[in-house]
Amino acid sequence: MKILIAEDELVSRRLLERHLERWGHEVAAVSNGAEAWELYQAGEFRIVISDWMMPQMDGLELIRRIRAQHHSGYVYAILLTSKSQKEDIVAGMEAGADDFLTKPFDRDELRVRLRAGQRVVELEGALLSSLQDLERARQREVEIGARIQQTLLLGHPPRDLPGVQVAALTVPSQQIDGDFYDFFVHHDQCLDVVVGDVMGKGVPAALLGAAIKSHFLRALSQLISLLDRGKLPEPEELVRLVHDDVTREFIGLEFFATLCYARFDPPRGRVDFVDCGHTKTIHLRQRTGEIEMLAGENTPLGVSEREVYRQVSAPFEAGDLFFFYSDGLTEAQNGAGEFFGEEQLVDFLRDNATLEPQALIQKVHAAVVDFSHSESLKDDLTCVAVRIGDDCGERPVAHDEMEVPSDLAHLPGVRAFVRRFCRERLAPGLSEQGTDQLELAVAEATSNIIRHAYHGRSDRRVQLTADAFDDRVVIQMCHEGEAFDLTTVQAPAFDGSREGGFGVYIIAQSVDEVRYFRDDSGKNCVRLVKRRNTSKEERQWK
Amino acid sequence: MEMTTEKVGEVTVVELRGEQLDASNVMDFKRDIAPVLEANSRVVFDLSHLRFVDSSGLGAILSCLRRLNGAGGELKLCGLAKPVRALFELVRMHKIFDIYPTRDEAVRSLHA
Repeated sequence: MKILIAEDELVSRRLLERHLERWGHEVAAVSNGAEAWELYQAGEFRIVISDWMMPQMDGLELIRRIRAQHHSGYVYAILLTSKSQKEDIVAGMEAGADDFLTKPFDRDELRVRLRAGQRVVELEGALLSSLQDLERARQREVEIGARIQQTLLLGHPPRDLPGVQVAALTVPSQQIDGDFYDFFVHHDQCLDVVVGDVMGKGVPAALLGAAIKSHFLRALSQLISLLDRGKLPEPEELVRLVHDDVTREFIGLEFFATLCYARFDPPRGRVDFVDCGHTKTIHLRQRTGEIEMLAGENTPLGVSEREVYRQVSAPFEAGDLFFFYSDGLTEAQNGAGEFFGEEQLVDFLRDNATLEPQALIQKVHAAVVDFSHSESLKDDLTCVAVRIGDDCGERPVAHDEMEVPSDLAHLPGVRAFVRRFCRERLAPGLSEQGTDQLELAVAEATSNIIRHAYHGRSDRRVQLTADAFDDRVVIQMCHEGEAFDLTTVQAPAFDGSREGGFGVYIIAQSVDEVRYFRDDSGKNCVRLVKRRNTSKEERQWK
Repeated sequence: MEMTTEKVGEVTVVELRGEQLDASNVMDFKRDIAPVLEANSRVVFDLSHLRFVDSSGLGAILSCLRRLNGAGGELKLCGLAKPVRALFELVRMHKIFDIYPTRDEAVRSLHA
């Protein structure tokens, strides 16, 4: 063991040096406190034996300085003293000395006192090393958990589905949670989304989450092979089968899992879901702006073997948004210990309803980070956003597109594109009046894009797509300019006192639906829907 | 923007020759109409060639009305095609402007 000796009396120093070296220690000996302090800082001494009274720096000061420094390991300090009064011992211990040796010292006493010190230093070293082992093991568990999460717990959101857009996000916390999600795409445009959360933390929770997820996949293939060709097993049948498979084991392991299994059927405009005690899914209706919370009445998986899982249905329309999330989101806390909360989440979604799923969940994440003032969350944050496609996956009967430079001189060309599409490509065509109105709305919207989104720059592009369905014509304009901010629009002055401000009003009055949004590629879009043979089209302007 | 002006007694009739008055040509219109409004106080816009007017075209015509009214003059409109008339009605400008079916009626109203 490396030992530092600080002793100004030559005989005493030599004696100490000789004894300690003979006992196998590595010894450095100096004759005053200042030198000792210098040497101490340079080398890693585990035991310091210092005389009390020394020139330049005394033993008390030396020990005080040693204690004030931060070390990786403990340093055992023995004070040599010719004093043995009680108050001296108190002063020495207050400075940080562990033990005392009275001069002239006895060889045997030195040996046993040294051995005691050695034991303390060794014990402390062993403790430190097992703490480090533990920390390494914990770190490894986190890494394993993260790997389980990425590879086994989280499915990949499907892309390019005709009827729905999906995006998912997981932000892992310092601990491992059992959050999981998966997606199953079926041939008839149906999409199944399963999101869940195993209660508990660590590798066991992650493994059980992975197990449930794979049980669903197995249940799906099992039931599909049992049913008639082409028929899909109902969500409640799937949940019941998984429940039969796992609940007994879960009860035995004293784990349970909340989850929601939802099937989106865009052509039929409805979602069937089984809610097993999961956080309530938020349904934002695009047309009316209303919010509904989807919740069933079933208990989590792994609670009761007798539970009978039942599905619930809810209708939806084109453009509706569904938001699934783990409680790590709503229970994110700020410095004052307040939760982010369901209410704030709902308000947030309402305010950002025009964003497409990918942009939306990123913004949700940013909002939670902002709220909690921290990038590292206590629980995993998981969310899945599902946006029903504007046309519910319906195929248009006619489609056309054009791209024009962002130059007002091209407006007549844009209008001609709309007229041609509505009058010549469609049979029967859109009514004359309906065509006039759609043409006007598209011209206004395009001119807004060029003048405001592009600030009059004529070297950019505007893309137009036209789609016709049995009951409506949809024109969409996309651009890479600034997003449109409806809140800055002034109401029109019908008394003729102001010349501007009519554009947005005209658009809203001329078509049945207007939607401003950002698409998945980051372009800002305006979408205009003109219904055929509706009251608005038939209405005679007075 | 192409336009012809014709004096009928005290009244100046401006016939807009283009098919549209919209954001694509409204700047030209404003530039070309300014000297006409400067020199005349009783004006009729004959819009019968126009098939399309948008909000900026409407705003420009509105600005002509305010300018003339401000200088004690008058502006009448005539010959609005169906979609143009529909736009005026949509933003209730048919209540702000005096609109006549024909040029003669518009001119007569200013001579009365």
